[in-house]
Amino acid sequence: MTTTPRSNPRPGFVLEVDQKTPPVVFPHGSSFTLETLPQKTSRVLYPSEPFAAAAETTAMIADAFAAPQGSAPLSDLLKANTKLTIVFSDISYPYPAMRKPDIRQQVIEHVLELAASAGCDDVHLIAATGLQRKMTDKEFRHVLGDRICGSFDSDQLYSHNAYDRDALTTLSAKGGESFSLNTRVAESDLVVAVNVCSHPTHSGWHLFTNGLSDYQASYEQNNPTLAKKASSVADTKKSAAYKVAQKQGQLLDKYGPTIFHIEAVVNNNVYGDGPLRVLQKREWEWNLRDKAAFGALRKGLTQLAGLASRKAGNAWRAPYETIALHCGDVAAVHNASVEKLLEQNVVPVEGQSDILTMGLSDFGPHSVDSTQNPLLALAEGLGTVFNNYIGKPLVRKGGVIIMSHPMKASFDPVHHSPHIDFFEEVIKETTDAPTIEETYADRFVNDDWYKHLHQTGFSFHGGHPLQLWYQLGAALTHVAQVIVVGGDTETVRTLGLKPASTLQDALEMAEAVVGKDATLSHVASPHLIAHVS
Amino acid sequence: MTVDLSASKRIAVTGATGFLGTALVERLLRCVPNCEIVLLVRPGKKSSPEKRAKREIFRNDAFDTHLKAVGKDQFWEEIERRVTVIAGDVGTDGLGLDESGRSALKTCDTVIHSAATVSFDAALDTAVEVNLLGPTRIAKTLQDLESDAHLVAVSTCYVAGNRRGKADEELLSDTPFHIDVDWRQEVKAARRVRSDSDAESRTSAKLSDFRKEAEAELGAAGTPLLAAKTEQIRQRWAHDQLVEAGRARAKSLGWPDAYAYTKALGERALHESKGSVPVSIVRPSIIESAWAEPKPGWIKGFRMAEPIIISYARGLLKAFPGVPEGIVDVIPVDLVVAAIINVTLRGHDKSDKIDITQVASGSRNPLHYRRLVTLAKEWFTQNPVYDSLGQPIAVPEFTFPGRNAVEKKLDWLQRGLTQADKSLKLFPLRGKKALLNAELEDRKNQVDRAAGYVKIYGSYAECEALYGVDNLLGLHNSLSKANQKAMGCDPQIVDWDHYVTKVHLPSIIKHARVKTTPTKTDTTSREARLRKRVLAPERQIAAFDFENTIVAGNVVSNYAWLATQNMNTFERGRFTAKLMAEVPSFMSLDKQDRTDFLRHFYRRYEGFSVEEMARLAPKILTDHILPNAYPAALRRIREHKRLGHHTVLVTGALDIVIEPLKPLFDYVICSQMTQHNGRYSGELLDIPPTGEVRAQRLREYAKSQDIDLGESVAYGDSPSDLPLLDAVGFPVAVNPETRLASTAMKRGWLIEYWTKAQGGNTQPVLPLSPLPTKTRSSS
Repeated sequence: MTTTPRSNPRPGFVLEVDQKTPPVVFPHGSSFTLETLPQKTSRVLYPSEPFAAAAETTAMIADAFAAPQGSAPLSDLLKANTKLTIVFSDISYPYPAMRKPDIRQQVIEHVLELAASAGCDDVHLIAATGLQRKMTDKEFRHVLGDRICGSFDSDQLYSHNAYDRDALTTLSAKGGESFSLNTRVAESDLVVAVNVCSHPTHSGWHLFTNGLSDYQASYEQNNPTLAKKASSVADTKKSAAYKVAQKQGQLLDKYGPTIFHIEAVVNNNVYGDGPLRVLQKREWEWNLRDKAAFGALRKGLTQLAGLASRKAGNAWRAPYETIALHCGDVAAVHNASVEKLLEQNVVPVEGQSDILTMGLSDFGPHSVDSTQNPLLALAEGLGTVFNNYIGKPLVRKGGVIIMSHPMKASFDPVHHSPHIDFFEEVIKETTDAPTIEETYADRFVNDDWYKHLHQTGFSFHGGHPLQLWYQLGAALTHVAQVIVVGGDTETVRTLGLKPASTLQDALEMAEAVVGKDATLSHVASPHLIAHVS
Repeated sequence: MTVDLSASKRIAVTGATGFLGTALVERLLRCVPNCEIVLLVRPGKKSSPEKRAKREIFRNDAFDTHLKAVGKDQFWEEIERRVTVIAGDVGTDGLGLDESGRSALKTCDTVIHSAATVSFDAALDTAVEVNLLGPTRIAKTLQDLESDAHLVAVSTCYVAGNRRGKADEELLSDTPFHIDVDWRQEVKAARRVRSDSDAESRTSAKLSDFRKEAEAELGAAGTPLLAAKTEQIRQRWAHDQLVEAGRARAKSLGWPDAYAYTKALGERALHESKGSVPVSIVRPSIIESAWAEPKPGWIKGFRMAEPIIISYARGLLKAFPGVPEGIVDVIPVDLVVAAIINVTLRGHDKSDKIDITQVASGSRNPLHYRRLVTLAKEWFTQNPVYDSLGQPIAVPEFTFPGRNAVEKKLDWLQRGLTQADKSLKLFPLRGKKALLNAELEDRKNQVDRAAGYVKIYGSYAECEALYGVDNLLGLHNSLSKANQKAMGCDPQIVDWDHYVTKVHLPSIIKHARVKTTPTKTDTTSREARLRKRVLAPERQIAAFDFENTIVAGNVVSNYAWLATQNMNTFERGRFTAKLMAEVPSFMSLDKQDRTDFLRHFYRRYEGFSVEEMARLAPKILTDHILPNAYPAALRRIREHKRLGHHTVLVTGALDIVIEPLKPLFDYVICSQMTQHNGRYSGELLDIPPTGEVRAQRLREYAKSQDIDLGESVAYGDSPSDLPLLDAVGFPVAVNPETRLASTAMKRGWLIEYWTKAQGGNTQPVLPLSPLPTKTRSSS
């Protein structure tokens, strides 16, 4: 049997666990575990196999630019005196990072060629880093390639600065709403946005509302009050955060600069056909070679010390392929991207379960070249995976979430300065989001030291940990208990969760909440979207 | 002659601040209602005699019973009315009395002299001045004043010396054991020993030894602190010489120690020089806690047997010299007080004869050594002392070896611990590991102390004299039945089993503040308390050392990082090898003088481009400082800032290195290099802020801001930060080095253990900068 029949990928699949079902792979930090799920009451949601690339990249780009949606062709918009700003999504997505050449590089090279032939020479390239850290030289080179990086100085190619009020322009609507936008972007004649997305949330206005604005914009989408409302990240009809972002986008559309939006949709091919392909195969289809490969991989990862295994994980570059590329009007492109993303990632499933289990890897948008600290891991599990549904959550109200992650209190001193302090000073005092908002938010958001570290170094915005914590709100109000398997006991308790040493222990603990013979759903990939009917 | 408790006498008392003296004053005040008391009190260094009397005598819990009975107002009124405090010192001729003191003394009917240097390890000359000459000085003063007051001098049974058999209540010169030494010669000799040992302590060889010892203890703490420490060590050495001289002289003449020896000669001197002054001598044996008055178990200060008992309870002392059938001659303080008061009220027959009363239990109601040990073992088994982890300490099976065996064993243990202590100090330990050393030092001190007790008190165990108490019993029997009840002094009254287990042991355990509950020592609450004080809003400056307080690293690592900025792999290899080879010489230079080291080391920066260094500032932050920083330190600085404290960085590091941290501080004290043509010269602009210069610069800053350093905080990690830490009211040791750890523990400072963030991406052995990547604009 071939591993990935790309020409005809099998769709997402729900496996009912029975006596023939082998143990299931759970990512666990930078390693993996094999867990046996209870028979008859459990089901495993598998994502679809990776879709094939739409076409050869150059051809795909040419095709897309030839037929922009709801907009004139880019070549018509570019003039010799056009003040042009190319904004692009930063290194956070997709995660793990993409193998070279990054699709953004290929698209931007094409845009620059068009600009050059139009004689346009006032060009800035801005990474839409939002509350994330600045990108490093190495990362710029990874995303954009040496040619682009070699052609622009640091005053033409740089990361957005969410702190610098002088570099932000406020766009105000008549109704009183306002939105702060990167001044260079706001004052440009033409903004070309280059986005790469693997999930509906990151498509469309997100690049602007979360990448080129200030803390306030993120806060409006994600705060303790809003977090209690339905906050699916995939359900564009229901998500409260999405609605706010859309409103911000409309304001931007009306009062902001002209935008030519380009969006590449990548598939879920994280491990490819190489030595790690076993991680993308369904367990019951493993052959002897796969089993041996998995055994060797696990052994290798466990034998590497913390830093080394983290480095091994950080070094992984995924061989994603572009399955769709659209350009033109933001809304039109967004709709086309979302359609493709849902086609690739949705797994239909019937009804909710009592228990939701998930294995969390150290891959995450905010741990690129650093470490998946406990706040990030928790946000990944409760913010992203839990909220990745259409219809209703995969776990019922009052149910239990069990996640597997080492949860070591290990923070990157350069990237995660505010996170360290948030964990030590805030979480050890209270885990209640409204209290945190009231007591600590102002201090973290407006802290001069974090600002200094963000602007001169590579630290996240002081408000970033708050944003992570607010993301947990929906999950924490929805379920009765969250259990962490194999996590550092002290850290797990500090985070306000229950520690368990094995999955079996966790299931025993869950039984006390949801009763005997509870139903269980396991999601095999953080990328899949459960469509729960 | 009878004893009349209602007699209206005017009684002068010396040594009232002591254990016996306080009990005596209390009893006189409470039980001899018509007497008036004149207290001869030595002025303290800072407080007047009146203040000392109030604090050290009347506020003592001995007076609780009386205070409760009469009420606060009447209590103080009574003291005002009946007690006169005069300044005086039995250690100087004429008792250091002024005119009013002399006239107050002149009006007294009786002088009770209980002042003594009872410390068994007192310096010889101090013991001579107080114990030997004290009684004579009083007698002389009374003669000068033409007073006919009765002098009741408190001595000790042990004047009889180390001998077996009966020792009666008679003058030593009347016994066949009398050795005829001239006390005047002894005084002269003692004073000579003082000047001799002082002179020897000032020889260059000795001074250099002391200096070395100070350096070993403090490290590179700067000249002023080292000088102070050296002087402290010198004085201690000279004092130890005097203690040893006293012990040796006493032993050579057959007394157990300098105390007994000086007391014995004091009796003789008094006998010779008393003139017409009527003299009574009261000789107690070993005075211990009260049997009944002012309350059972009452004790003041740590007496002879207590440290031994506590050492035993802590499991440190498994043996103490002595024979099991030997007698431990202990006498509760209230019996001694009663005897003195009875002698006082009975008066003297005005004859030329000195009458002697011994207050001892051995011949009348003996407590055998084995019985005492058995009782103590039983009691400590039922009421164990707990260690810091909350585990009960099992008391050891007590053996009764000879003195030499015990000394040898302790000596062995002592040497082992000293060696371990020395070895540990050789390692550059930090943080919690350094505490190991501090604990070892603590343990070593305990063993040192135990060994000291054996050395000092062991000789008493060899003293098997039986002290006759005929006069004491005579006195007791002469009392009316009522007075026998109120002021009886017959040792027969003591029930030793009850006394040891119900009175004495519970009392001294309480007194010694040892742990008697199985709770773990709650260091967190102590730490939290200290931390709260450090972070109180009223603090004014928070001064931080840089290297190893905020950031793990040192000037060498800073340099290595900066110097390797533009090197390729090969050059780095060569650079590293060269630098590593120099490390030993850096270490020894740093040990000798930090300022010289910095000057020497910073020469390396000669020729570095000023512009290039400025450009590197953000990179230093990201690649060097943050990965090595203690996040808790950064948090603490900012917490101080939030509280409105002035945050100050005090470091020998170069300004170019600490540049990225400047936003955290209101003021920075650091090293700066001079520049020439856009290049650094490698020479420093100022004296680098190390050792005492740090404290000096901080003081200057505080003065300029009108800030009180007593209300300020300083953080440091090594002994070289001591001047800085000493300069403020609230010092904090961060991951302290061994020597600072023990200092911090001894002085009760807050100790913080801060670690680097665990998720750092680079943890190189030598902090070289990452290999240069092509910058965007350069290609």
